[in-house]
Amino acid sequence: MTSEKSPDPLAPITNALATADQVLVSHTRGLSADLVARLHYTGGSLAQVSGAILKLETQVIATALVLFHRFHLLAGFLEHSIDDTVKGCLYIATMLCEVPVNPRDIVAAVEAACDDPLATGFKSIIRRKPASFGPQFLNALYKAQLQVLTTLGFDMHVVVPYTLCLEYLQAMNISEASDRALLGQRAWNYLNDMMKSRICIFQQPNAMAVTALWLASRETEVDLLDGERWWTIFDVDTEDMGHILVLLRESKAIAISERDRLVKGLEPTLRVEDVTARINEEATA
Amino acid sequence: MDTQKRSRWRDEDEDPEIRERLRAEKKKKKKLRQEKKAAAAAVGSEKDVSTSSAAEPTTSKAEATNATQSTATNLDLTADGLLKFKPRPIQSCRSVENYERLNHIDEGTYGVVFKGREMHTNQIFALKKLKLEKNSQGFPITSLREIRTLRAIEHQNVVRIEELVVGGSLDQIYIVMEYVDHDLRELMKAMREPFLQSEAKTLLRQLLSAVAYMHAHFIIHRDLKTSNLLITTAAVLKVADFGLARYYSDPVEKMTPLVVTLWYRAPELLLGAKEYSTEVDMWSVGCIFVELLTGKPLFDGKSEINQIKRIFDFLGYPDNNSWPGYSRLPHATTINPPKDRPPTPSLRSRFPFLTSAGVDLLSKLLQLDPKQRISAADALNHPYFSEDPKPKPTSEFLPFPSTSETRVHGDDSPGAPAVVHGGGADAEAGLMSDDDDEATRILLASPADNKNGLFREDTQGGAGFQLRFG
Ligand SMILES: Nc1ncnc2c1ncn2[C@@H]1O[C@H](COP(=O)(O)OP(=O)(O)OP(=O)(O)O)[C@@H](O)[C@H]1O
Ligand SMILES: [Mg+2]
Repeated sequence: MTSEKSPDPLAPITNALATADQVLVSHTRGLSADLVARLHYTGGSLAQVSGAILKLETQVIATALVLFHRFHLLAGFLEHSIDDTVKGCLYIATMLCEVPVNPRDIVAAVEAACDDPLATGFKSIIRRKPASFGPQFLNALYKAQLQVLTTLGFDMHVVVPYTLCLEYLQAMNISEASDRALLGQRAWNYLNDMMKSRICIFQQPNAMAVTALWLASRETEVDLLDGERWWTIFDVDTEDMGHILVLLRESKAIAISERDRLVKGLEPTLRVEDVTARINEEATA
Repeated sequence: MDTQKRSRWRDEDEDPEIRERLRAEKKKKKKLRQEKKAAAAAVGSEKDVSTSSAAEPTTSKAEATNATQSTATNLDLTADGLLKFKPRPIQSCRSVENYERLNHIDEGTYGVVFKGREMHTNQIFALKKLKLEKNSQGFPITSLREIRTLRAIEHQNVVRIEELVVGGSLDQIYIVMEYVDHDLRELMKAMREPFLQSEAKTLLRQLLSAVAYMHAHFIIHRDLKTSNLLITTAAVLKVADFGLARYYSDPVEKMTPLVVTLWYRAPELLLGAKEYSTEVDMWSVGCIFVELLTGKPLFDGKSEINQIKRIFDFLGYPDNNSWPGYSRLPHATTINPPKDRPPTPSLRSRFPFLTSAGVDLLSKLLQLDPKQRISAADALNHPYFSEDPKPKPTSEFLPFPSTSETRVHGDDSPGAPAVVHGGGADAEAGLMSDDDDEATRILLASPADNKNGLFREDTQGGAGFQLRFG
C-alpha cells in the first residue's frame, strides 16, 4: 500500500500496467474509446465521493481507484455496473489497507454518492442509513469483491503515488516551508485528478508523483532545483510525463462535459442500463 | 474549487516552452530507446524471445507462457541510466480447466488438496481449493493478506505459489502451488524409526532458514506443525500453509481449540496473551525439533489446559522471576503448580542422546518466556549446526518413496478433533497418556549413534522403510 505501511516489503514500488493490446480489446466491448474513458472517469469520481463520505484516507481511496481502473481494463461496462464495482473495490481497498470498514457502511456511502457522483454540487447528497440496506445489497458487494479479485488474478499489489510525491518533495530541499506546503497541496490535488482517470494503469506511481510536482511547480511558480532535469533523479523521463499530461488533458475535457450533462439534469451513467442508454444516445447523435 | 482547478489546467495547457522542451526530450529519448533496443536484442533477452515466438502450437499461448514465467529479472536500466521495472501485466485468474485433475492428496481442515497437471506445460502442481463459506462476509481479509504475502516471497524452503485459478463459479477458487511429494507428518508416520541426528539437523536447519526469512519480512506463520512441512523426494523441506489455516474460516472465535492443533502452540498463546509475535513460531520449531529426533509429538495435549500442564510439567512451572509479567497473563491464575512436585528433570537428562550444544539450542527454543526465546536467525548460527554429527547433505538422503505409496490419509491428522480426543494411530503407537513418566517416553527414541539410518537400509531389511497403513 502506502510505502510506509506496506506489509509486503519485498514488492517494488511499481504497479501492474496495461499493455497496448489490452487497451484495444477493452475498446471493442461494444463501446467507443471515448465512452470507455468517460465511464472510467465517472467510476473514479464516484469512488472518491464515496470515500470522502466514508472519511477514508486518500491512500485507501486511491487503492480502490487503481483496482477499479484495472478491473475495467479487463471487464466490460455492459457486464458490470459501476456502482457495484466501486463498492467491491472500496471493500477490498479497506482490507488491503487494514482499515476495517463495515460493508454496509460502504453500501450506504456509495448509494449516497450516486446522488452526485461527479461532485457537481448541483444536487445535494442525502445520507443513507447503513441499516436500511438488506442482504441483497451485501451480496452484490461480496459478489463484486470476488469478481474484482478473480478478474485481477488476485494481484493485490497496489502502489499509490501520494506518499512518494511527498517524499520527493521532501528530497528537493525547498527552503521556504510555506512554498513546500503549497507545492505539496497542489501536487496532491493533481494526483486526485489523475486518479479519477485511467492514468494509473498506464504509468507508474513515481511518474505520476513527479508529474504532479512538476505541474504544481508550474502553477505556484516555485522552482524545483532551478531548471535541472530533476525528475531523472526519480527515474522518470519526460516521455512518461508528457504521456500523463496528455491523459490528464483528456480527462479534463471529459470532466467538463460530463458535469455539464448532470447540470443539465441528465442522469449519471452508473449502471449497465445507463451505459446502454449512452450507447444509444451516441448512435443517434 | 472550480476556479482553482481551471487555473491549474490552463497552466499546463498553454505552455509552448514546455511543449517544445518535451518534444526535444522525446526525440532524444526515442533515439536512446532505439539504441537500447538494439543492445537488448544483441543480448537476446529471454522474455522477449518467449513473447515473440508466435509459432507456438497451443491455442492459449499467452496463458501458457504466463503460467510458467517465473520472476525473472524485471529490472531495466534505460540508456540514460534511469531505473525502470518491467511492469507486471494486469491479468485475470485462469480457469482450473487448464489443469487436469490427477489424484486427491489430502483434505485439510479448510481445503481440499489435489494433484494436477498443467495441460500446456505438462508440469505437475498441487491445487488447493479454497472453501469459501456461503453467506460469509465475502472473501476473508486473512486470505487476502496471506495470498498477497505468499505471492511476494520467494525462498527455497517455502512452498511457491504459481497462480490462483477459478472454477465454474465465482466462489470456486484454487491456489496452485508447486507440488511436493511428502509432508513431514505422513513421512514420519511411515518411518519405523525417527530421523538420524544428522538428518534431523538438516531438516531443522531448512525449517529455521525459512522461518528466519519469513520473520525478517514480518510474517508470522502461526501454524507450524509437521503436516504443514512438505518434503521433496530430494529431502528439501518446504514450509506450506502460511497462515492458510485461516483461509476460509471466519474470525478466530470459530476456531475452537479442538479444530486447531494445540500441540505446537506456544505457552503465551495458551495463557491468552493478546500480543504475540514471531516467538510463537520459534516455540513450534522447538516442538518440531524434538519430534524429528524422537518421531513423536512432544506435547500432545488433549485440551488447552492439559496442553499447558504438559508443558509446565516438562519444563517446570514459571513465575514472575523466570518469566517477567507471567502472572499478568489472562489465564495464568487458572494454573496451579501441583504441590509436592519432584524437581523437574533437566532437559539434559531427558535427552541423553543429544550433545550439549543440541540441548542448549533446544532449551533456547523451548523457553517459556517468549522474550528469552531464541530467534530463528540466531538459532541458525547456533554451534549445534557446526558440530558433529554434521547436517547430512540433502543429496545423501536416500530418496523418499514416491507419494502414492506412502501417503497416509488424514484420518488422524493432528488438526482433526478425533486425535485431540485420543485414539488414532499415534495413540496405538505408544504415545504416553497423561500420567506417564516423560522420561520413559524418551527411551522410545532412537539412540543418537544409530548409524543404520532409515535412509541407509534397504527396505527389505529390518530397520528399513516400512509403510504403515490404516
Ligand atoms: N504443495 C503441496 N504439495 C503436495 N501436498 C500438499 C501441498 N500442500 C498441501 N499438501 C498436502 O495437503 C495437506 C493440507 O494442506 P494445507 O496444510 O495447506 O491445508 P489446510 O487446509 O490448511 O490443512 P490444515 O489446516 O489441516 O493444516 C498437507 O498437510 C499436505 O499433506
Ligand atoms: Mg495445513
